[in-house]
Amino acid sequence: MRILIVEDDRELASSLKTMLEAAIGVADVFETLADAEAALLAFKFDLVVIDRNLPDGDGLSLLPTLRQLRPRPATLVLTALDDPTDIVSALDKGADEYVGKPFEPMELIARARAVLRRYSLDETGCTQFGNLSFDLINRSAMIGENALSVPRRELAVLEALIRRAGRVVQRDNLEAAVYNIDEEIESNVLDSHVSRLRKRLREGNCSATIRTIRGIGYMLVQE
Amino acid sequence: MRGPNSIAFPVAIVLILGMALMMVISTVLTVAVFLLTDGQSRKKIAVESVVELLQDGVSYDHTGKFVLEVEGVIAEKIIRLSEEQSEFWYFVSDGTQTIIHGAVPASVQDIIDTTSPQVFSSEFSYMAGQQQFLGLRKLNAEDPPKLVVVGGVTFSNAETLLVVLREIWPQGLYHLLGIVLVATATIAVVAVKRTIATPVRRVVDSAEQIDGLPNGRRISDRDTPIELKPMVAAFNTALGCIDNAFEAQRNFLANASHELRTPLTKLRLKLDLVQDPDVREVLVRDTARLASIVTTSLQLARLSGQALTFTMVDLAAIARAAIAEHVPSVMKQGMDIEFKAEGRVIVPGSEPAIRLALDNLIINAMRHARGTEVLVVEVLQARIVRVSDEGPGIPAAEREKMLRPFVRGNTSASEGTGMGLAIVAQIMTAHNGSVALGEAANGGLVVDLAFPKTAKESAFS
Repeated sequence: MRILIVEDDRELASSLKTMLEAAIGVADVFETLADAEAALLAFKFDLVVIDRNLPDGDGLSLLPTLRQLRPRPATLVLTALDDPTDIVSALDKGADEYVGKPFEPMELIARARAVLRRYSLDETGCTQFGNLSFDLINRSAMIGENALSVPRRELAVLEALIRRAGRVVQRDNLEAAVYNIDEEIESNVLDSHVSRLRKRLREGNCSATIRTIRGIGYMLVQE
Repeated sequence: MRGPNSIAFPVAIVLILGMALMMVISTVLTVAVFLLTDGQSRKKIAVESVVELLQDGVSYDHTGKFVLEVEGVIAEKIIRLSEEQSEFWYFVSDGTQTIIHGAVPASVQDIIDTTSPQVFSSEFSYMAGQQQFLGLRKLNAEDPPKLVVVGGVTFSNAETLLVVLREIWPQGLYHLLGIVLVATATIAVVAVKRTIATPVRRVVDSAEQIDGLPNGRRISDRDTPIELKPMVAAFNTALGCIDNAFEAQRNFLANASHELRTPLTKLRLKLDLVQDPDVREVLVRDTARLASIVTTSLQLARLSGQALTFTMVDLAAIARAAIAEHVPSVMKQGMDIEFKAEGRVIVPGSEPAIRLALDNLIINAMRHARGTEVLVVEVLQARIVRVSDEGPGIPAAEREKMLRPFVRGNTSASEGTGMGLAIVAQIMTAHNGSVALGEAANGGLVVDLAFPKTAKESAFS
């Protein structure tokens, strides 16, 4: 894993570098947007951590360049601005994750890993959560080395959950991922999909399970 | 009692009075100039009007007798003034009956006798003693034709004025002027409305739309009369000031945010290097509290500095999204979060602000009810969002002041900032709603966010 850190505060940059290198992979630090852009065009990075207030502008202005790179690195925006409109504009411009300052070191690492998990799909098409892995290209799930045989709808539920593993997927979003607009959804159909899927995971000795968050949705968690 | 102050009404009154005054002045001036300059015309107009009066005044009584009976106060006055003069005479005849006043000079008698009946009007000058007089003979077209001959009229200036005024009064010009006057006043009222009231209305409309957001909105001074341009300009300057102040506040918040949070981040990251775990834990907690104070202070500053943009929002959906976001951290604390909603609850409100209020309540509950089992978020059809926990609650006496900034509960061993509830209160005030702190059956804290009913609904309740 190769990480690009764009941060003009040297002390913070060096802390970030130490932290990310210990947990994820080698990191390079650049202090300006111009240097970062040059580096991005010359080398391949898996993760880009950008601060917003930089000497030559807003870190968000790097996002269009990032979007055009193939393979596209995962992007984590680091910011002191936490006005909801700032967050929305960052996500709209293509940031994958948004971490407000100050942050718990563990939180940053967890978010970076989550983003990378989503992005590793670009290369291998596979995402991993505990001993559960999901191949998004071939649309198949494995527990450890064993293939998990799952009907189409349940597979869609599992895909939606693993994409946001460790976070809640709201019921509405899950239904939207599983059914198309024209399909009539009976109120408890989703619940039965989930309970069958939960049973399958348990029987396959999966380290992940599906938590029901009553009234809200479901969440894939490590047991 | 005075009516509402209107610009149009006094303008109309002033216009009417002004025009009436103009008419009077112009009449007086015309007559005065006429009197001072033209002696011949003066005589002529006097004689002509006497002839006219006599012509209108003669009639037949019930016995068929020819009589002279002049009607009207001014007409009688003119005839009486004439009759007081010694040289004045008149001769009125219908061919068979004749009325004569005064002595008709012999030289004039010939004109009366010899002028052809085909000549309807003739004017002549004659001498009587040392004085020259103007005479007028008029034959009208009635059957039988009436002949009126008048001479020896000498009127003073004042008397002539009387005659002249009587002559011109019935003339159409003055009636026309009256109509013009009323029409002008009416147009003036409408024009005043259009030229003054409409631009003013536009300024007012724009003023009503000012919502404290820096949208660069300005009032156009196109079509604005030059007199009102300074007002529009002043208004736009004020709008500009609002925008600048807002922008300045926004920049301040952004800068303060950056300047405070970046060092805090560095501090927090450095703390991981502290060897002694006890010391480290205390420092990490203090840093977290400091960070939380910075965050909530900035939120509070942002809320008080800007108006919220309202749309129709679903309280249940906002609550659901807020809970979804907090579930992982709630679970990490070994707690559970439960959500109850009776369907959609639509209210006018600001989604980010309501979300912020809920975030604060959930974070508060997580802090104060640490170690308990479940916190419950409910959305009731009565437009109430309720967050209840199983923590120690807040004593009734302290509840009110908890809604003020920087007030922390003393009963809980918490690292709260003392601002969470103040932010919630501010958000609810902005929604014309209220925050009520209460006690759950198990002693925990219940916070109710009550959104106002619509005007229609409250009329029924």
